[in-house]
Amino acid sequence: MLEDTLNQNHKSMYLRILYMLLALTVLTLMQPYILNPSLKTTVGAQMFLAVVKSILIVAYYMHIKYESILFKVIVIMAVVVLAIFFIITASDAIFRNESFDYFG
Amino acid sequence: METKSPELIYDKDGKAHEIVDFNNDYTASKLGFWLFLFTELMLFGAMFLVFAFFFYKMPQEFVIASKSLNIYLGAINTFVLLLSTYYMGIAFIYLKDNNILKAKKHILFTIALAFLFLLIKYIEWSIEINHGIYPDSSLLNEKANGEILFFGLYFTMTGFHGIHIIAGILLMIWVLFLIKTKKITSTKYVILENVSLYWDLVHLVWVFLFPLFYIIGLGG
Repeated sequence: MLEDTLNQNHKSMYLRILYMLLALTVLTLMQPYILNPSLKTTVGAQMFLAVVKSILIVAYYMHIKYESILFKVIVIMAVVVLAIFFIITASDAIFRNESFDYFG
Repeated sequence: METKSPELIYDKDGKAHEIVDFNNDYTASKLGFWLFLFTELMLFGAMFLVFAFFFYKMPQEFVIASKSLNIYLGAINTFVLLLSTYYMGIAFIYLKDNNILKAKKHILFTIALAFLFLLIKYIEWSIEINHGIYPDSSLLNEKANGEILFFGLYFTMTGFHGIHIIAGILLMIWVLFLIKTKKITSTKYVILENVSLYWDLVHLVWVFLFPLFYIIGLGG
């Protein structure tokens, strides 16, 4: 009985998250028409929406919210490692000496 | 099996311990699969890193190239993939509920949507290729460096993503076979759970691919 109720709750949770993700996807498509469509605003807003969608997917559809602390910590660690790669590369991209650079 | 003598392991004080082994460790199966998902994260993460670097260096050329992609087909695929992950999750809940028929039906829905995604991607790539845009084509090579890089990354990243969709379809067919042979049941479901996690990761990658390739063209 308890299992039935839990599964029923999970089903309604899945549906709620689906509606939220659908709304965020519509927002993704509408954003350049709603906000000032400059490149910086668009990229910033789009990445913000993508991160919000990712958090919903990882927390609910990938069940991390209901997992033990071990799973939560290793997911956070993986994201931190990836973020370090991005930060190091960003420092290269931003502070590189352009005068000797092919891409300059 | 009962007649076999127990396998022993000795600790640092020389005390014997029996090795207890079993082939149904739920948490370890899931943990192992999460570690695999992290290698996938690093694979796609590295490609996103390359994209970010060159996008920062040549933003306008990326925007020009992005404008030539078909945003409608990309948007339809976004909805298709989102719906497919929902069905996959529901299939898992039905399986735990011991509603095998509905679980199988929802996995079949997911497979159908995955095929639809591939069909739309095929149409999209065909349009690009018919316009003479494909890696190392003479038309593409005449374009600016940023545009060449954009399309190179577009074909590589969406291609890799497409391979993951095909792998997902094969995994789901395998899962259906395991359900039929009762290797996956309402109490032994970690394989379906892991395949469902894999499918969510494939969706997660698309959540970033779509705005970076299709939407930035609107922000020029």
